[in-house]
Amino acid sequence: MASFNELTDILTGLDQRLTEHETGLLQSKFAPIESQYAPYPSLAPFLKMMGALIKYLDSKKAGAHPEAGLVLLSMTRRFEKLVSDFDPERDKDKINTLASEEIKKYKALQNKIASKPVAGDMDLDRLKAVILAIDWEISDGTLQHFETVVREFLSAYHQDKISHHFLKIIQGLGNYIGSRKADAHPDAISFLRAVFDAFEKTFQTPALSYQNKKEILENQIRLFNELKARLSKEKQKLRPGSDMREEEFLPPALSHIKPAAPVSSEDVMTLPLSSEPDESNAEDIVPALSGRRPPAAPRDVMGDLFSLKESPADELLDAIHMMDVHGAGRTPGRNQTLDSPAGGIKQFTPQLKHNEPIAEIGDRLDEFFNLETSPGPSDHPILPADETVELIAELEEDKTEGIVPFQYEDESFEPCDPDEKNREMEIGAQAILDRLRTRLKTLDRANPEPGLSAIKDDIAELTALWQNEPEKTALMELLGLSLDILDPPIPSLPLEEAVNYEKNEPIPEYYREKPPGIFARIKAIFTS
Amino acid sequence: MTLALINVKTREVQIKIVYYGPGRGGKTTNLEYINNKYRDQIKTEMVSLKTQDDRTLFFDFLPFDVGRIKGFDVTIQLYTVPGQVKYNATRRLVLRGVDGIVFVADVRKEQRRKNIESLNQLYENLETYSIDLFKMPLVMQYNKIDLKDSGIEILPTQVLQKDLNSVLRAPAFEASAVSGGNVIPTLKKIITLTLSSIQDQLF
Amino acid sequence: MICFCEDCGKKNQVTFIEFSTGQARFRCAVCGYLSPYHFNPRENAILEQAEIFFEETRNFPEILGSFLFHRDLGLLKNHMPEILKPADLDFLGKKLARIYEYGQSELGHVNETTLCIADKTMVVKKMGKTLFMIIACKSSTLPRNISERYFPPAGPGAF
Repeated sequence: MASFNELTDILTGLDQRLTEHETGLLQSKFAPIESQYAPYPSLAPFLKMMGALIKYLDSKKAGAHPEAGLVLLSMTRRFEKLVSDFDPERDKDKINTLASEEIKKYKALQNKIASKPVAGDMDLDRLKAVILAIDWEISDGTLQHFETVVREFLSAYHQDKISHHFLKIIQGLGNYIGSRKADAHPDAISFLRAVFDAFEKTFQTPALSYQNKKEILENQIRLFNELKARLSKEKQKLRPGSDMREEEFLPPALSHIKPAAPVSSEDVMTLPLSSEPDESNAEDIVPALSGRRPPAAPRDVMGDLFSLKESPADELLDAIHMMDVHGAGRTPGRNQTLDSPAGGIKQFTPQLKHNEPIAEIGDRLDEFFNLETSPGPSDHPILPADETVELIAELEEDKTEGIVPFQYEDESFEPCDPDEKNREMEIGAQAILDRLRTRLKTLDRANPEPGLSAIKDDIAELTALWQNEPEKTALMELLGLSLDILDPPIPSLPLEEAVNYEKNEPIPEYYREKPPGIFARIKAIFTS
Repeated sequence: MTLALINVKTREVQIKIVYYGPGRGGKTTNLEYINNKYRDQIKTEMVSLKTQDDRTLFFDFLPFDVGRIKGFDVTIQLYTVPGQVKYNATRRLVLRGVDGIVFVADVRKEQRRKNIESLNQLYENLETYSIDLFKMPLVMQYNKIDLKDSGIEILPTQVLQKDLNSVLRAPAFEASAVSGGNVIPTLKKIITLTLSSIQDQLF
Repeated sequence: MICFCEDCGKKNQVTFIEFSTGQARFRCAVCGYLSPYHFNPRENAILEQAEIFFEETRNFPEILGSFLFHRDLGLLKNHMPEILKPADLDFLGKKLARIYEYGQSELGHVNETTLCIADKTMVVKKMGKTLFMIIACKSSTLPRNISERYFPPAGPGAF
């Protein structure tokens, strides 16, 4: 009995941080009990189960299932009572009944241990903890911790595709929340929780088949893309110029010659209009070239008309008149010159070279136009023709010139690798196509609006997604044009551009019919 | 019409810059501002042929000397083209021998399509002379930016950039030609670009 | 009236013009561009005279208001009480002009057409071939001084 007391004392004092010393004590206290009751077959199930549990605790120690110690404690107490109350030879049936109850508990514990994931509930709790921390407070600390834990999980589960995908979604959401912080959409945060719950379900339900887990994952991906699209839409609405999307889609100029660079139409720094300060006083301006060479006489326009010497303008007028005489379709020969180059005259065709202009050019022009000394060439980098990423800092100090820079759109959902980006784009495009298909099928032709607007939105979204694929964008354009048949433009009324000049307002054509209430108004004037 | 004409004997350089763009965009206004503002320096008359409605019939022409650069006397010839759709043949003629282009876009919302069509047509017109627009010194000017305060709907600059400059990637200026805003910086930029493209052979 | 758009060159059947910044313009049905509308010299002269008429009769107590109507283009100038909208005047002008011309075609020479409403009148005077000045006045006839000054039978100063 002393052994039972010692064994129960040890088991009662056990905590999660099970050590080798404690498991050693358990084994040492159990060994005499086992040897004492081994000759009784009816007690064998108890002994076997208790022995197995002690071995399990010894092998797992801190990683053991938390209920294992409790089950062993209960079993030890039951066994102690059993051997004190019953005779192992005579009360076999009662002992068997008690044994079967303990066997049930043992098997339940076995199942729990078997369904426990490799990482352990505690590890998933770590992930849960960092997600809950973000839900509570979005700070640099919580975000950093989140990033660390997610990375650990990603490296641990990189071979488990379903888990890996879940973790990627969680990471993407975390990145978005981290980039927006207080401005993060609340739906993103609640969706982060929902994704984790779905992940936990697939993680902790071994009975769930691979197909079921895949379906759960696909559902989360679909919701993720919908959220992404919704956030993008709202982001565009908040930005100026977003109503441009409602306008008809116009392909950029020259896009049929060369593909347009993926330049964002947003986030471009606007140039503050630098109006020329009109403070120049005619008397104060020193004429250019004064003191260098005598100023040329003013050009005698009338004299030029009658002189033999032709000016370039005269030549051009002649060419235009000749064109009119001989027909507008007649085009001049290529690179035709009216003056064949005389001796010493060279002709150059300027070609954009993006080289630095020599300093004298800028100085001379500044002097001619009475501008302040322009900044050095290094401050105005000329855009290379083949460079697609460009950001030019606006020069605050140079008020006389501004160049509108280009910036790329800030995309916080960008996945790490291009394969995944393409995959995500395909998933996104597929989702929009499915939605478009549904909308077209269910469109009410008698009353096309507002379904038609939604369809046009989808077309615009797909066009934006496929902006680098001209065939697809052309198809989208054709689809949009064919929809105009359902939604013909309203006959244009006179626009409101005309200024209301002395009460003269434009009168739409249909008002030539009798306006309602006209005679009442006439009567009001004439009988007052 | 000549190309960039360089007389090595007399050490003179002539370059031709054309202000191109849709009708009523402000091309002539640019030249008028330059002519008025720098009347003393320019010393030449501006030739301008207009319709009854004050629109350019053929072209505007403003030549002036900017002085000496590295021993060469540089003459700038500014031209505008008529902007209306029907005058494309004249526009093509004016473009003959062009050395640098200022594309004057109209920022009014209703002119959006016209801006794009005009730029596309510019490319085609240059093609008839075997000139590649992408190799031409070019500056974008988004004119009438002052209208934003007068209740008239204008296009945001980023839309203009996307419509007109996403392929060319040329220097661009917001401007108000009627008040002179950024007219001279635009001109200075195109002259600089044009001269720098021939400076290796010249200076 | 057929006019050509100054921008796209397409033909337009102009039935309505707008006055903006003092200039008559029509909107092209094809490209929407506002091209200037050019009146013939006679009409231009009448328009100028009409401006003087409006200016000088502004303070005449007998005159409630007046407007200038073009047979093809509709309402051109409006100096009527604000209760009457441009659409009202366009409709009214069309009816009155038609009545005037009907009377002229049936009866020969017609000097003016008068529409009496209560104790006031609306007098229609034709100017040139296409323009009508419609004057609302308090009296049953156009005040004599106005009639003689601005609408003499065929004398100088007449429209």
